[in-house]
Amino acid sequence: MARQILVCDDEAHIQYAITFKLTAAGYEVIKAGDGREAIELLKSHRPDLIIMDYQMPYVNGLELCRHVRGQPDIRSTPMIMLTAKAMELSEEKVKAQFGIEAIFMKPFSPRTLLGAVEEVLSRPAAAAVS
Amino acid sequence: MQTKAMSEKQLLALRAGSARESGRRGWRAGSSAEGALSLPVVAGALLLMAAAAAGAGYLLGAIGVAAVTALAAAAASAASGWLMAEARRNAAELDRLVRGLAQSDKVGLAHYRLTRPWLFIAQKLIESHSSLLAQLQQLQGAAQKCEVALRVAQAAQRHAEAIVNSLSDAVLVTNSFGEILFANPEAERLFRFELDTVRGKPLREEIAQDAVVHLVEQAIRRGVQARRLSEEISLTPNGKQHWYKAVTAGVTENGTEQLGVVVVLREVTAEKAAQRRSAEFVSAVSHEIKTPLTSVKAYAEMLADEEAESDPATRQKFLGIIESQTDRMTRMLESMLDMARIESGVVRVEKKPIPLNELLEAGARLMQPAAADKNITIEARLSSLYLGVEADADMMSRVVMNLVSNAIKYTDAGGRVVLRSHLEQDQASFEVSDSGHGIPPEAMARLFQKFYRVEQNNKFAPGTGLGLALVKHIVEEVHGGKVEVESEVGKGSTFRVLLPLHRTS
Repeated sequence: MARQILVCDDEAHIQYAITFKLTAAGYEVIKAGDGREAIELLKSHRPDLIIMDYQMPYVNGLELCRHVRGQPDIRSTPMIMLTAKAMELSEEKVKAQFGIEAIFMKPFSPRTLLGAVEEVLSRPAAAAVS
Repeated sequence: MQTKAMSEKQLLALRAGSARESGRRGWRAGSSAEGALSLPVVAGALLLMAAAAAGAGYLLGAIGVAAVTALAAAAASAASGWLMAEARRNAAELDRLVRGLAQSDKVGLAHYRLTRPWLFIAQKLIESHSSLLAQLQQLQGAAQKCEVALRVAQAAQRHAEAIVNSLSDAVLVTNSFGEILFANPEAERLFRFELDTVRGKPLREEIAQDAVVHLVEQAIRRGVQARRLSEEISLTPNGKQHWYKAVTAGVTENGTEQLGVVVVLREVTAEKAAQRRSAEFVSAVSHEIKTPLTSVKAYAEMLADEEAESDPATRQKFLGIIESQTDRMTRMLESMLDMARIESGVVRVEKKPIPLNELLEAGARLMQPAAADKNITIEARLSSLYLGVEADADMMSRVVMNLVSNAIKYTDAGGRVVLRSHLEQDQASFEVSDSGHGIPPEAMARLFQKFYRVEQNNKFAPGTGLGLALVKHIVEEVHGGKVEVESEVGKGSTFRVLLPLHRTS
């Protein structure tokens, strides 16, 4: 069964580009336009990976991270963050504090993003989680 | 001094001798004549000594602090002139009388010969007096020079103080014990004290601004090595935070002895705020540009990787996104440049009386095609009165276009946009109303901020978040007018612009 990835970005074109790239690589993609939509989706889905933008209306990337880490059934889901601007915390701190696998600064390369996704999902630990 | 001591002794001897002579000899009229003579001589000599003493004092004074005034010197000089004449007159009188007496008897003659040396003494006194007088005149000259130098120095000090006092920077000087020596009026205002009441008192006890005390104490600790140090500190002189650039320097003499510390504080609150705004602007710009740039890069890369080769429709879609995102970046850059040019005053504002209704009609006409695309009608219900406003036509038409274009963007197909104009007392106003999505109350406060976009309305149309910021700037900052907004979610919005009327008088 295809691995499922939740892609959460409020920029429709960016969301579409990531979706296209991942789908072409054989992944199943579920999409959310902002953090609130993602939280709704997570009530009924258990994705293998979450890719999220940092700056989103209503619930931003870090808040979404906090939500995921606070839910017992999905807390160990690996996450990748995209951001167009430097965060208040340093990249290393964000990674350590929220257990984020990778942070991509916009503009990023979909090719490199796909590489990171494959790397994360090929780990035995990640496989064990799902 | 020796001359003075001798003359004193000899004068006493002269007096004693004369008394003895008069007592023994009982000259005719001699005692009275001699008594009358000796008094002015003695008085003259005493005065002379006083003058000499005064001269010595004068000398000491001049050497010491040069505090003798020209007036005293002139008085002393006049007194000594009189003394000299008096002594000379007395000596001549004495000689004449004694000679006369001596000629009348032999004893008298002998006595005259014996008394002759006193004339020598008188002569010596006169000589010593002349030399004192010469010294006195020299001193007087020196005192005058000192006086001039003192006045020049005082004027220079007043001049320097006036300069320091007129500075908008606060200047504070302490000695090397941290005691206040000087503060200019700006420093008095900043530290809330009066120099006269705090002079000589420890800075630490007189001001509440620990940051400044710290700077001074630091400079004192570093001693003569204290180089000029510049740092930014924040103070709260009136409960509000103000930023200052503080330059601290040690005051030294010949680089060996520390005399004190001078602190100059320049307020940089406005510069600091401008810096922050500029940093925020750059950060916002880079973020806004990065979003379309991300799409351009992603789709270009996928096209390069031939991901859409198999499907011409997908390929076409990718190319379309790249094109639209490039346009978005261009629009954004143009708006930002407009904004920067208008804000920085690079664009020349040419205000002249313009008819507001004509401006609104032109705006409605120009936006007609965009409205027609969405099947939106634009209505102009303009005032029948002539509304002349003093405005820059280009800028004001940009305001109208911006508001009408927003109304079209955020109104669904089939909706309506209405332009109105009114005369309101001493102002002209115009309104752009739409039957669109409206603005939620929580977005109202930030509506005119640069780059702010109403999140709920993001999906209806692309935008830079600069349009309303520019409208507000042009209306309020450039034209002294006002922009108001009323809105209800789901019903629509009305933007009202108030402008001062052009006065014909």
